[in-house]
Amino acid sequence: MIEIKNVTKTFGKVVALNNVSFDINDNEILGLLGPNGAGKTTLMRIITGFLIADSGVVKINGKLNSEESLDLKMLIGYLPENNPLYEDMNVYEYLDFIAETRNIKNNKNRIKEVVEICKLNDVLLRNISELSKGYRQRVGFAAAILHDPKILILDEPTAGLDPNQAHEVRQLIKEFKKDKIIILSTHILSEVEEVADKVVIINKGEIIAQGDIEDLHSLVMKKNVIKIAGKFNKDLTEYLPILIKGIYQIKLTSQQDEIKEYEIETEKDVDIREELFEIAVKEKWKLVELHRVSVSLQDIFMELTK
Amino acid sequence: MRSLSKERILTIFKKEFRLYFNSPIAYIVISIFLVISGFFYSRPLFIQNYATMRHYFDVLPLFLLFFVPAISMKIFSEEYKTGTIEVIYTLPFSKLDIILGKYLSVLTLVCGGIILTLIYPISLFLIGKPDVGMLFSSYLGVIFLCIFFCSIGVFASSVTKNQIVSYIIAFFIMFIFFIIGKMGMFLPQWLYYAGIDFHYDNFVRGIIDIRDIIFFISLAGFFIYLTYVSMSYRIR
Repeated sequence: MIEIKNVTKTFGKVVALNNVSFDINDNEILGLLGPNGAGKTTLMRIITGFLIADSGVVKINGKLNSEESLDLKMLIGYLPENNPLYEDMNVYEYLDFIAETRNIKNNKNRIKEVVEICKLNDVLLRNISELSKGYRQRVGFAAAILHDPKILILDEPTAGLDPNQAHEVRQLIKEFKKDKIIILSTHILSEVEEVADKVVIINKGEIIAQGDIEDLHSLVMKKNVIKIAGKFNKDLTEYLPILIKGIYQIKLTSQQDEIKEYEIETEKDVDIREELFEIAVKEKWKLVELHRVSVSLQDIFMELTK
Repeated sequence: MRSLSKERILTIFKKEFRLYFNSPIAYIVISIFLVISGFFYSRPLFIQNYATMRHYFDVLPLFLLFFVPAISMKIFSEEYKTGTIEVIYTLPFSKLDIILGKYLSVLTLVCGGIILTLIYPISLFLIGKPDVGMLFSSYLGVIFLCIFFCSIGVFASSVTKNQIVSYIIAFFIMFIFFIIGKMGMFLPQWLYYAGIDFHYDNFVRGIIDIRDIIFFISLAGFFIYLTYVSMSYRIR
């Protein structure tokens, strides 16, 4: 478990983090979300011990992450932003160096395993400076998971990768999930939706929202949106508000031949789908679609960081 | 875990050594050093016709002024520039592990260059009868000088991301200690003690004095401490 309490960090006059607090439980994947310059990297660096907070504390498994806590460094696997690597080493040399620093027993076998997982076989003896960005990212990831860390911290692991490579990295993260804490920063929202259990959104150094993805949905959504499409013999914008209570607004969003599509906004806690269905049956409307529109994290993000 | 460990220093040492020889730097710098120092060894030898290396040891500190920064300039600068300092510092190493591992790798490489010059005294034994004691103490003096110079080089590299700047800073600091020794007659006595010549010349003359050893070792310790301060300032 990682506890972050009232962490503040300034660089000169710039406040990078302002009184940030949250907890991360075991077996949880936390998505750290925010626009560029929000303070994600600073926060991750403080958790890894690379930076020291001006005030506030970070506790990992109840232990204070003070300067030079080598025991805690042993627990953490870290993929820094931009994935810096020793360009003059080949992939095997690099992994061998990391294995040695991590005191891994039987390190040859372990390197072999990780190379399999990260699909690095083809480039094992190539110089790191010659690798493509996708391979470099995999090398960084392999180095971070080499000692099977309890805590894995990944700073923008998919930045700059093409969609296929990004997908592969996400798959690696998911495979690696078992009994670990993973902290993942990104500004790609679908990524967080895909892998994270919990989200913390920071902007300008402050937490503006945190919770499960569903919590965040309800936080932003002050209304419900239902989409209905079909062949109707009446104009719904006039007809429905008379029958159903709690409707804010009905919009005709598209029309193709006889099929019309409406968006119905209602109060947050009202679910009118059942009623709609009964009305449709009574009026013999032919429905082709009836569903609640879910808000994407994108909407939440834009709403919150406006 | 203790904040200093032999194994961890050795790990850093091996990594740095590997990096030196994976890139052409080490080969180029050592070759140039050997060519130039070979020239300055052999020239007076043939002119004077004495089996001595006295002249060589007189000019050697000047070569080291150029040679040591060329080896040490990248040792921290490159890590800061490429960002790998973040990788290495988030691995289970203390600052002191990192500094000492790096320092020892620089020192070993520089001393490696010096060891390659042992071919000169060997060649002297083939053509004459040089003074073994003097040769031994001279080489000991050179080693202590390297211990001192390398600490300056490592410190200079830890204050900047730019290797050229690091070279110039290291050269400048070494040059101050060097020139103080050369200008002894114009300087007050206490300042002359701080120069290199006052201590180094004793070794070259065949005198091994514990005070001279303490001088070089303590200054090396001082610059390693400064490196620690500079690293703590950058990573915080």
